[in-house]
Amino acid sequence: MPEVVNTTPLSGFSTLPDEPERETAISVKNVSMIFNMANEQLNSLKEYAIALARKELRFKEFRALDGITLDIKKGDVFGILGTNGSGKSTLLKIIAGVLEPTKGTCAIHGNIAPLIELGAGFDMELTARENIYLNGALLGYSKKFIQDNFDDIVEFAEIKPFLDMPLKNYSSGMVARIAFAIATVIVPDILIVDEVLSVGDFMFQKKCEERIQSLIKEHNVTVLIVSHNNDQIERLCNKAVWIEKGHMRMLGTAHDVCQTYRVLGGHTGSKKAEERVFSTLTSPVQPDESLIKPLEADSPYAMAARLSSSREEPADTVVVAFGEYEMDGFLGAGLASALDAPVLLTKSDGIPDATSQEIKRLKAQRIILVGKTPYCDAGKFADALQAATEVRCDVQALSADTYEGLSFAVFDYALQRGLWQGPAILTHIGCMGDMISLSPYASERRCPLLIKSPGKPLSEGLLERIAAYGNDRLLVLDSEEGCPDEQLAPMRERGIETVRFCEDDAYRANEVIRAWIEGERGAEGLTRSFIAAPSWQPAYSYTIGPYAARTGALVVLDDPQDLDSVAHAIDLFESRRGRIDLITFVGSRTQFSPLDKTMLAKAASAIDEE
Amino acid sequence: MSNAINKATLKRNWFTISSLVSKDFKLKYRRSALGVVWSVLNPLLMMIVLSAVFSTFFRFDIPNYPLYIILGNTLFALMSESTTGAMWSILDSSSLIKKVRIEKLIFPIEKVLFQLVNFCISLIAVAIVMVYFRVAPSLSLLMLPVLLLFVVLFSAGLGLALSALAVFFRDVCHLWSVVITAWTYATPLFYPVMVLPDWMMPVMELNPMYHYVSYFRQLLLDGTVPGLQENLICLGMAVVTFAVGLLIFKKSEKKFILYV
Repeated sequence: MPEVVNTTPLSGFSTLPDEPERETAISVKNVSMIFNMANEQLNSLKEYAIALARKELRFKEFRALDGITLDIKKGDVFGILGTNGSGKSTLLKIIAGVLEPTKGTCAIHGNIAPLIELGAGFDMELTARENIYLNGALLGYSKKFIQDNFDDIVEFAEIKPFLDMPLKNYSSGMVARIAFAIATVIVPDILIVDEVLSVGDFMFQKKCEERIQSLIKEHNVTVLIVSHNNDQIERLCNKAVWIEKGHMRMLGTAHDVCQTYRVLGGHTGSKKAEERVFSTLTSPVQPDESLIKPLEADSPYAMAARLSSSREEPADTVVVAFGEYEMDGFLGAGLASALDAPVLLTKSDGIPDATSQEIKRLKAQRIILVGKTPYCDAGKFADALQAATEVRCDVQALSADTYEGLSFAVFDYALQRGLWQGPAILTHIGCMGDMISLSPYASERRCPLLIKSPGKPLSEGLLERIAAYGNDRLLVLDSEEGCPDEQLAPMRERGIETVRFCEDDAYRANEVIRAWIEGERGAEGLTRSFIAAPSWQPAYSYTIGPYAARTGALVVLDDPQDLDSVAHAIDLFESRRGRIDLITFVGSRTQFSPLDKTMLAKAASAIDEE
Repeated sequence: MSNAINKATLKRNWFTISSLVSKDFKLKYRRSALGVVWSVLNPLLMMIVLSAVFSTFFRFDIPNYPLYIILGNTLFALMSESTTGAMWSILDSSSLIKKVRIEKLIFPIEKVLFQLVNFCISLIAVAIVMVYFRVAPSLSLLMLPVLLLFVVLFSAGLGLALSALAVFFRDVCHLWSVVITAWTYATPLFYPVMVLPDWMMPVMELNPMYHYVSYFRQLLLDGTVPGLQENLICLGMAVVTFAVGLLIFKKSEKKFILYV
């Protein structure tokens, strides 16, 4: 997927009032910064002369900032947001007067205390006392001012006992404290804070933030803050700007800009997708919060346990698969659906707590372990489980050397018992997005899963099994290249219809598979319940099949990092606006932000006609 | 109004410079047993070595030869060390220049003033040698500050130009040490100017260090004050060098941040 970073301005969402009555503190007008990047580094006279003589002295232009215009009023607390390398620090340097803009002007009204980098100009050989004077002098303080405020600095930095120790013996946290104390002892008209709050420990950060807060509240200082920390900007600032690759994307109230940045900032996606997401984010529709059901867990193991715990009754048999390997998870989930048993995940180096507790709760007697040979060991698992829960279970391992073999073992196990019902699914290793999309169908129809060996034609064993199974359809999750049509010809000769799912990207495939499943369900009508699952962390979604089958839900692949996927999800929900009952969000705790969830809810919520 | 601001800025810059000088001073002698005594000892020891070597090999007919040497050497060291220090000053303070809005002129000027302080301390060594050779100072000593003003202006001009050039071409740093060595031999520091062939004399007249060293010796060794013409030559050389250096520095200082 090509990485697309959009840089066009997003307008119309947040507007700042024109406040001509308030004094301007910083006025940045149409500032551009162009760096000449020499094609080669010319660092010596000789190289320069040679290049000049050959007329090869060409430079590549690099626009760090392009036409930035800001008007920061006195008393504003202004946040600058942007991904790494977007030009934030360059802008701060221009405002601090360190850099001269290539084009445009930057006018400052008042004195500036730049906290661009703490401790610039410290000499590690000197003592703290000497450094306080030296650094104060470099920051332009008078001797008397430093003398008068020396005690305050020492007190804030908490270094009184170590004043006459060379700085090189200090911890980096102490150095940062001294630097911050010196820089903020003065009450400037304008304070520039560049990521300084990210150094030091939690206590120090809190102290710094308090100091900045007091400057803002008590002295009406104009503050400029650059931070990656969205929440910090939203907490401290009243206005903010979002800069991307040197372009101003959005200027508005801190709340609006931070919200937009949280959803769009640093995320990839086409321009169209971004516009789609942005318009949903800013649409005035009231989201129906009751549509949102978060299903979060700390780990894929805990997630499997959570999904399993949604069924109340105890289970005699439990299927356990290895969560580190994606195909184990899907095979385990398929077998569990066939057995109508819960499925849990385990690790090859021990049973996670969540898993063993869930086995205990389910009062399982028998465990079927699904995994490849070296790590899938029934005896070891039984011992570990007994050690953890004091319950001795009968553990049966289904294992093989290869995934093809493992899929055969699972297939044969359930075939002997006559458990498979739906069409067989033929897939390859690593086909995760499509497997997740198809898993509700695979579970509800009890479809066997067959995995072909990578880079080889379909094996005899595989063809035999499909023939022996006798279903009249075969679902193929693979491209024409991975599994050519001619190899499937023998199936068709036997009267088996092959249905191939293959699209350019996982989201498109998700759409196609969803539409196909709904078509298969036929009379039951459109699905009213959806599961939003990220394909980025698929381990959380290995076992959603049985859960989806139980609740009748379908899967929507949604990665907040990838705006294309979000746009797809929005398209789906908007097309069914008002006809959706529930969106379950499956993933780690950090996967979906509250905003990501309300945004999808917005798309799905019925619009009040009144 | 602007005058008041300028005065305040000047005062602030002066405090910054004096803080930096005191930092350099502290760092120079930190953790050495003799400390500042080295500023006196160093020229003395140097003088002993040079006079031992040269009076054995060349036998120049110069009265109070060691005093002749120490006078030339200390003054030349003031120029060579302050220009070398100034040359590195911008590169060395790159971390500061990139982050803090600060008058960049401060850095090379500070290095020159730091060497001036060192020079003043090494004058103690000169005094010791004068006492040893029973050379009594005369009223001409009062002209020493004037000479120092010339030398400091001249050195600052060179230092400013070098510090700016060094930012763009690091070659300057390597080249300068060679130039200084050549200059040491091209200036009559341990030989009398009379040993030079006649055709060399007009060339020597163009060497500012020859004028300054001669001025210094005349003040302390001969106890006389150079004439008005010599003073004007010395002043002219100092002022022109300073003006050119300042111009180069001011023209290029905005681009420093892109190269340091």
